[in-house]
Amino acid sequence: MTERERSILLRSFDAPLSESDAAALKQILAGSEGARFEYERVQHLRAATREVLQLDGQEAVTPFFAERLTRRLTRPASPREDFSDALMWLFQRVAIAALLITFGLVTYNLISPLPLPQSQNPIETAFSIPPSSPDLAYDLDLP
Amino acid sequence: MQKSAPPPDDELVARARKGDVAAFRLLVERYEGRVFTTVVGMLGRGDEVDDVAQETFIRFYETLERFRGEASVGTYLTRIAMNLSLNAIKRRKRWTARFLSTEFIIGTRHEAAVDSIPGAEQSEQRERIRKAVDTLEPKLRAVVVLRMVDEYSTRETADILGVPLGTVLSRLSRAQAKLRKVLGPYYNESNAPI
Repeated sequence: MTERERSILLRSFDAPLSESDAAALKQILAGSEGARFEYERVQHLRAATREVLQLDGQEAVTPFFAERLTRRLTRPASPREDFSDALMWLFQRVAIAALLITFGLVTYNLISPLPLPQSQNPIETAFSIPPSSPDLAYDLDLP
Repeated sequence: MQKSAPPPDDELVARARKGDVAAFRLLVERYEGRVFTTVVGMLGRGDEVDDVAQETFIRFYETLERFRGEASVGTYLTRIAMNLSLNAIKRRKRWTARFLSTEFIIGTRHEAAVDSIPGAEQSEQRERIRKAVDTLEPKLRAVVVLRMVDEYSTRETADILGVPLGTVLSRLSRAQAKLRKVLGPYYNESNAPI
């Protein structure tokens, strides 16, 4: 098999061939049993897979698909959708505001010049949480 | 009376952009088969298919303004359908990992498919091919669906998936080898399927 013939055979697997190449391929297949076997091997596998999946696709189209879809596109938003959209809008703003406030408080607490007990950890400092430990809770003054 | 020629896609797209839902519906009717074929090829038959197909057309409707016609409507829709199918597979994997075994899901899908096909022999053969396609990982299945089922060229398949040409060729080669391996005992390669 020449390099050109090999190239035509390989291209036939990738995309439709031009008229002249298709005629050349026909000649190649007629003249070489090995080429014909390889060509048919690939084509049969593809044809069988295509046939089954295309048939599955056609059968899967549900009745009145286009009608249901266009109805869905033209349907005005229901009051329920309006309400959930409004909730989402409100939640996003509240969440952003809460984050900003938290960030402000943390920053203020971290840089505040107030004296802090030695035992206080950074989280307690950041959120201005009173220090908690058994000693402090029971107000013990153990040696 | 002579029947008038159906309006071309670009005319329907232009009308749909102006809010003509009837024009959009014609596009849906024209391409629903192709979209369903892509989605079924990727997901197998099941309830999810209708949802993904609907979502494909809704995405297209919502992005009509951005559609510049560089690709054909069919290719554009196939790209959306493919991306949504791959997302659905990811969701399904997460859900399966949490609640069910993969064998259960595949088994259920196959039973549903076989039941609906008349002719036991034919359905058996179709079932074998479906199972073979199901054994492919999604990346390989995508190439099989686009290249072998939707009949896009290798270059077009690469464009739709956004991967280099060489990647498509290597995935196609791996996919075909796997299909042959699974179908081997049942498939007479020198003739038609047994």
